[in-house]
Amino acid sequence: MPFLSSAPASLFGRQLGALSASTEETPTHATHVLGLEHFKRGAKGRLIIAGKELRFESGASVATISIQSIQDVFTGEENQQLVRGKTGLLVELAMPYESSRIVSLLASRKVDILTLEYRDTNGGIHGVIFTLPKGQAAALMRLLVGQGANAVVAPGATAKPHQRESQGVAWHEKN
Amino acid sequence: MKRIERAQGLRSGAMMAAWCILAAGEAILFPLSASGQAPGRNFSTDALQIELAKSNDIAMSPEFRVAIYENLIEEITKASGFQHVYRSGDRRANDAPDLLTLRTTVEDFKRGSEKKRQVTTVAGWTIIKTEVQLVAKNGNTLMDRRVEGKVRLFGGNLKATGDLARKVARLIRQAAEQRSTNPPGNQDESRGLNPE
Repeated sequence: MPFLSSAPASLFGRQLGALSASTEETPTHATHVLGLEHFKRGAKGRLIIAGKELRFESGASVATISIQSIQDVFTGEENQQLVRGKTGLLVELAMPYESSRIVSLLASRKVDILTLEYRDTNGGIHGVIFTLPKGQAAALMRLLVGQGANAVVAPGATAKPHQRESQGVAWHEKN
Repeated sequence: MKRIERAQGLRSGAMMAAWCILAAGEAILFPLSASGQAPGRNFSTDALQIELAKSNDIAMSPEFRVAIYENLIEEITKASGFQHVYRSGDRRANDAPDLLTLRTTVEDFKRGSEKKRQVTTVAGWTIIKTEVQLVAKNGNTLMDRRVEGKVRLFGGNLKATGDLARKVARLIRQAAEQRSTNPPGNQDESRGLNPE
């Protein structure tokens, strides 16, 4: 993809080493919504938990987040239109008598949203948002928590306002 | 002869009108270009720290809070002209001598529906209402404004956070410009520089 940098993008100034196959989890298809500096919004790729790192690979570019640095993980759901943006506009213009609204009505799907908050080496907070196929965010969150990521809300539960402040103690997966 | 004179009169009239339009255009454009900052110009205040948005009692999904924060960092870094834009919690900000802090509090949030927006074109808006404060290191509030982010037609719900960030970046730029023309020692900051 032309918009992605060809060199691996490291979030903590570390380049990736060779990965052992045993620590690599099954990759999850994901779309980058925002937060990763070297990736365009909407970049499609794979999320992989490799040892103590979460990797996002898209084309030749790779971003890594140390799982230990993750302060919070949230999952959510969103109803996403399949025909949107420029394509949606073209479809709308091409179809007569406002019939494109039927397409809008029918062409939608539910996706999971995975939100991560992590700290860089200077202590600065970063946020990253991915969309995943429905039902996969909670499983990935469980894996992240299992590897040492903090999460205030239990995997699968929807984050509520104030929960973050009122609960106080981070949620950890019980083995 | 009269025709020729009339034609000449018309031509000179047209030229005068064109000249007036040009002069008026210049008058409109000149103050903008004079007061406008070139991208990358540094203000007397070099550093800004952006705090994570707080939502207090408002029921808002965490992805919106994160998206507001990330979009603010992107827009302000791009447009405001600060030398350093620090993230919340960044230890390097402690050493900045003239640090400003941006605090965002969500006051109201209405999650719309992309489908409703596309089908009806009049319903399903996503609206985020926030209070945005720019605070100096000595605790003085330089700016306290209500800013709204919306998505009315195209795009996902998170697009409202981008709209909000663009508006906030514009306000920050204005406040920083005012501050650079009236340095902190010259007048009472909390009174003189609040845009409201």
